[in-house]
Amino acid sequence: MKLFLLFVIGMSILLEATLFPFPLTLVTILIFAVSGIEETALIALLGGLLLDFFSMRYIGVSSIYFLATLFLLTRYSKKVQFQNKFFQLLYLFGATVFYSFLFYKSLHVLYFIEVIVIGSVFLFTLKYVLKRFGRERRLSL
Amino acid sequence: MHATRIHFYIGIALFIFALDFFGILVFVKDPLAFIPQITKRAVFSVSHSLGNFGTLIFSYSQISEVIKERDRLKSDTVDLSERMRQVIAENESLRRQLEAPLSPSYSFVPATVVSISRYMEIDKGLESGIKVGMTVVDGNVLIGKVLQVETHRSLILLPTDIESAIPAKTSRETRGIVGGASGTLSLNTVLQKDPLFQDDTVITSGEEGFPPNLLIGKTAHINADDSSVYKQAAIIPTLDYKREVTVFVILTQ
Repeated sequence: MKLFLLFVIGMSILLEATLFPFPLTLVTILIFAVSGIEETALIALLGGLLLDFFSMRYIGVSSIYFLATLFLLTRYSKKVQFQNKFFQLLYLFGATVFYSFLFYKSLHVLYFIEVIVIGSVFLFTLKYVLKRFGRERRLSL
Repeated sequence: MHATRIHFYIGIALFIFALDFFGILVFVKDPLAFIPQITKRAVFSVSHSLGNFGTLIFSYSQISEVIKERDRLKSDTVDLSERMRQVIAENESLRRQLEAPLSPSYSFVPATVVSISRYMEIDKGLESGIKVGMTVVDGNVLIGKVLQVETHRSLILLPTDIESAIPAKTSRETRGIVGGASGTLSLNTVLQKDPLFQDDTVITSGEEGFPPNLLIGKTAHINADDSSVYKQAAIIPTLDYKREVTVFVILTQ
């Protein structure tokens, strides 16, 4: 399972840095987080560093964003029903749109649709895989 | 996930960011720059191959038509060869009369495209004399401007980027600023009184560090609202930037 997660995050970083100006890595990390994967914070730190190195940004800037997003998620998960798929998608949408605006200066209607579609497909696929292999847990706080 | 752990990781990320911001990480980044280059080049070439393979699959049903077309073209080729010989001779004489599109004083650094996400990344950097602000071309077509340079790689700001602003003029000497948005290209801030028509060629005007007369594209539909000060035209780029494999950086002082 760890290999699978590493493969998913690795591919996200490579595709985002090489081909698509789309926050694939952020989407992946947030989905890991809402799926209750314990190592998400470490993955966010290392994934962000790697993404910055590959994208020729200042190293650490993506990690800070990823971790800040995770921090908000954990901070408010008690107040908001984050196990609800609607809230998960809403948070994913907000975080990716803001990230896209910051890093890719992209705010386009088509883009929003892409975020929703890719996010939903990714979320449900990963949830299914995790459930099947018995790794899904609730958020630990 | 524990909040304290996230705090600790944010601290680490901030520390690394500070180190990189003040250039201390260069000693680590430069020797390792080959890793993203190799991996990104592999991914980029695979995506190119997949694109070509997809085109082949979609055109499979048209192969019989292509064969017929090929036979017809074969017979045309003989006629065209003769015409081409005449055109080449004419072209050479015209070239002698006209100024070359690019100054012979320019020196170029050829570079291979490593990836194109938001920016284009090339495999040449400071070691080849590339500096921020230099212009990147393919032939006499503008590809972009060097945005960021490291020892062995550089990032190119493409004309289609939202932050791009290229002083340009059309074949009718109408001036404007070429900018991008969501992968499209447009000629903006054109005065209402200036002539602007479809299929006008758009070239650089030679301001703000861009060499003059570099091709950008052709105007498509014009958006002229009489109530506004300026009018705008969509531009069809001369090149598909995403298909570029080799580009040239113009070395300037």
